[in-house]
Amino acid sequence: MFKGNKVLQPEDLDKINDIIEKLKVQTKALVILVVDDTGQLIANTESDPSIDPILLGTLTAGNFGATNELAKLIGEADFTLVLHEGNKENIHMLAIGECGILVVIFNNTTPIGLIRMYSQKTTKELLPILEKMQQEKEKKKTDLPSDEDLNNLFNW
Amino acid sequence: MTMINYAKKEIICKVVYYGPGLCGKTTNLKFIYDNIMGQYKGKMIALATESERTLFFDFLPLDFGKIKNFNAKFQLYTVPGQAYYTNSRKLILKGADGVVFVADSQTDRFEENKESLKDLAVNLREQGLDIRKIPLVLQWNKRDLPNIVPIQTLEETLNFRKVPTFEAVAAKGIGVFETLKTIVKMVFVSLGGQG
Amino acid sequence: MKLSQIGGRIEEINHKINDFIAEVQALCAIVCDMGGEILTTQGDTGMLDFVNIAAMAAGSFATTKGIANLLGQKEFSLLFHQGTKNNILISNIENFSIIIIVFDNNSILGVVKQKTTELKDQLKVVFEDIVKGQGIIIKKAKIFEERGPAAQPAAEPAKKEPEKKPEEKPQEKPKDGKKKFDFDSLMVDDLDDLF
Repeated sequence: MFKGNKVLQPEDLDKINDIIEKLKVQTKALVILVVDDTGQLIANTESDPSIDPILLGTLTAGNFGATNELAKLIGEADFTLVLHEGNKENIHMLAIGECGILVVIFNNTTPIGLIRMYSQKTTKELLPILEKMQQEKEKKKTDLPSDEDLNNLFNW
Repeated sequence: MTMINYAKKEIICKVVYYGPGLCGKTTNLKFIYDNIMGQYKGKMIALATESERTLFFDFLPLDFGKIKNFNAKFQLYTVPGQAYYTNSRKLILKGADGVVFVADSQTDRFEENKESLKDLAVNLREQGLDIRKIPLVLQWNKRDLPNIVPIQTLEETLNFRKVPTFEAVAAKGIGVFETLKTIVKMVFVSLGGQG
Repeated sequence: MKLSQIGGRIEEINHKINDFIAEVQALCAIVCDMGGEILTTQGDTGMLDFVNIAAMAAGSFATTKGIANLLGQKEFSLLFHQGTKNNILISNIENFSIIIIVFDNNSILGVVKQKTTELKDQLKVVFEDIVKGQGIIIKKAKIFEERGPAAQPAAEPAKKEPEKKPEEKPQEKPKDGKKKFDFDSLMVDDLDDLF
């Protein structure tokens, strides 16, 4: 039996792809990514071949993770919304529950309000699919070492 | 967390190189990047300061090609070693399938190795992972330097699980691929449910 | 920029930051180097964990710069993160340092942004002056290092058909009729060919 694996079935990836392609049309976004909470790229829309989606996924997940930590450090439960404004492209990131991140890269022709609205709708559609992927995860939280266990292990 | 993607026929695993500051984690990744055959590697990212110290993580995706119809992909990460980056280390460990602990063999770094190993145990636990069970390899790095701790002492102190260990000089590539190969195998074995 | 390089000029820097805080009614401001090491903190330092805030801000900044790089954009000069009560704004002062402003909803975002830009300009002048006076060369922080080329298509599937190891356990039956990855057929020995 696997321990804590995520499994992505072809039909689920098809669903995710359909959802983000729809979002791409709605928002005229340049590229859309779905990244899981560990930085793993799950799906992305077709884009400029010079943009490496795996690297982009890793960096956005790292960025999102750092920002969420920052939020906790200044007493916010979480920032579900992260927005970076550049001079040409903007990045909008939104958490998909606790399972992943929806990343939308868009240029200044699309109003941010539109991105925000459609992103929120999209994350709701994506959440059940990503949750299904994660189900195996629940099994692993058992039997973690106690403080005493660790002290015994590293009994220097 | 291993992702098994039936749609793309991929299996993706995450391995984190952990250890005290300046122990050689990034050096390991750079050597792998520079010396592994082109078809197996993607682009490497190093998020480092001007003095080339890792400030968040390094990332190197490896693609071992098809193994029984599945594309076996490994993503190698390093963490920043200095104490005050503890939150970053915690973040990077999320979903790790295996850990390489790189110890600095120098005598005056001995205590830092111990601290870092304990830090690893605590941070793994925060991510729901168990240092007693996760695939783990220890690397005794910088064996070419003077004033180093004897292997036996390192084994007795740090190798609490009797996991595979390798002597290394990462800057010259000694022990780097042996370490990688072993952690990759251990992760695969653990996926089979026997680890 | 390191604290040791700033030396006696820190008073002047603190003074400018304090004026800024009073003007925009920010909660506090942190200036750290590109790696997240704190140079100064001002304002209501209350219970905030500045060391970790600076380290995470540096991580956030570095990854953002990496993303900008990937997109062929120079950089995202201002990062704004909105919470329900507290907000945070992160920006860089050239390659000298990172400035982090924490403010709540008593401040007006537009004013904070505008005044931050002014403060950055003032601090830049001080930093440049320090550099000139001491003959320090600030290397451009190597925040993002992308080591190409990109991966080529995956290797050919291994030609040899691995034999099944007799000692391996038979695979557990999949539940719910779902497909499961056939780990038993994955021979870790295949990996030997790769290195």
